[in-house]
Amino acid sequence: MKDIELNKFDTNQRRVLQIGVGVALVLFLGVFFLLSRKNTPITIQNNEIVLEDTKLQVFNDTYEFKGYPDKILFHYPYFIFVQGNKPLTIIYNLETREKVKEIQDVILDYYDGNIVYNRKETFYNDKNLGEFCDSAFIKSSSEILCITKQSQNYADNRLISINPETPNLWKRLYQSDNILTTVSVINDDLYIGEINLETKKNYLTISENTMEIDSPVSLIYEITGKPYFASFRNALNPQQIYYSLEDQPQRITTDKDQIRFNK
Amino acid sequence: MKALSVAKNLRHAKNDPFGFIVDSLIKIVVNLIIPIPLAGDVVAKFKGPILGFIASIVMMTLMLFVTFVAIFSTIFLSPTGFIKYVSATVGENLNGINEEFAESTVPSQNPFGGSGMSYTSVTAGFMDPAYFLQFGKNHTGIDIIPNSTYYAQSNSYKENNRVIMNATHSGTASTYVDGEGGETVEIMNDNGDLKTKYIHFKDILTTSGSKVQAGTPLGEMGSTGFATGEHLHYEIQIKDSNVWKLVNPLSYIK
Repeated sequence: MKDIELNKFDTNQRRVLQIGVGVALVLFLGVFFLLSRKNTPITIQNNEIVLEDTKLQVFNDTYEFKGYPDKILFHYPYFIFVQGNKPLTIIYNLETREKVKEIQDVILDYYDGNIVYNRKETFYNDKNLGEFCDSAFIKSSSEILCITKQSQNYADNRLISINPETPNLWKRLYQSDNILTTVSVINDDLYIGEINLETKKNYLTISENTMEIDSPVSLIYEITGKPYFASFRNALNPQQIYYSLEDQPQRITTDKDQIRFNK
Repeated sequence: MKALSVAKNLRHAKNDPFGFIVDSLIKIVVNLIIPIPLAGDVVAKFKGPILGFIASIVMMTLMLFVTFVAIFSTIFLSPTGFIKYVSATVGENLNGINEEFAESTVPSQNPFGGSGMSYTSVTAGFMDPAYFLQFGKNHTGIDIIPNSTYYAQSNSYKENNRVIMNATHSGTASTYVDGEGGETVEIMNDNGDLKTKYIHFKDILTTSGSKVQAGTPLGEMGSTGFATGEHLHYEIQIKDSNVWKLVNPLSYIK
């Protein structure tokens, strides 16, 4: 079979073809660039952490957050995003605005290199706390707050304090007829989210003072030292909202379905 | 001859860099496009120009189809694990008992194997408040997925390249689809007073009525039914005064 040959061009024809191809390439790239820009949503400033609808923006990184099995945790100055299906936990420092660490596990809390995570029981780094915590907060290296079951086979739970060195000597801090959804300590005040399984009413307990609130407490966090709580969208809450807790719980009104996690 | 060609190209590149780049691009495009008219040309030679034209169109459509199928199937099939599954079926052996399990009449190991919960991450505990908050209903078992230790150490995973879940005790299996579409295996112990439930399988490897023992492969982890991603929902029920009661599976795991 005869070899296929390209058409023979003289110098001028060749130059016209080269310029033509070059122009076509530039046009294509130009149109592609314009279309790409048009489709790119307006980006949130890269110093912010915002959950808008299901889009979670953490500085320059964007994730999808639809709730379980993913989790958002907060332990100032750390913002912690848990991707349950992978499993992967990504930790950011709000002060340095940097990704601090990625851990290939589901963790319950992180603070200054220390982690709390679940196996058969809950562990603080390599120390077995002797209880299974549904959620936890590292108050200090000698005190881990743990929301755990009162009885293995029932939903009722309670808040206990465990010293990792003496886990058997845990102390009961709080117990109620409601289930406890989350715990945090901000400015030495203890914050606990609660929900009643029967009535579906929501409560927030601040240093043992319990008040009824409109939305379930999914996460308690702080912005510039002031307490806030977030209600993520879920079966009991159709819209994600957040509240300032400076005096009384005050809903932060936004035009969008939005929760802000930093200033 | 080859040396001459290289020298010619180098000279071209030096004297006319823009032209060299554009020429190279044209050659690449031409080399990619040629197979299509070439097929048409061959057919045209033997069967006439009309069939040749049709052959070109068919060839082009076929190549475009294969290209798009390859691109889109990768995008859509990767998350489902299908591609991994196809490649993993070569050389797998799932007939044997997982040797990491000790024979037991009580569910003292987790379905992934290993000691205690060393192979697993718990994404939702028994009666987990976060689960209740999310879905408005109680979580009747534990949701578990394999962790990095499992992928590094599990012989089952090394051999099969699939996340296989195993029976945790001896008994009789039954398989069914639960009310929410989850592929399910249930194992009843020989006394009829304890049963374990494994939900969300992608692929079930046992059949109803089969006798199983601890370590018998039951199926591959999946996300069928009420699931937001691949995981195993593992549940234990015990018969107490003729009533089935849910218990926390973690309390059984040694």
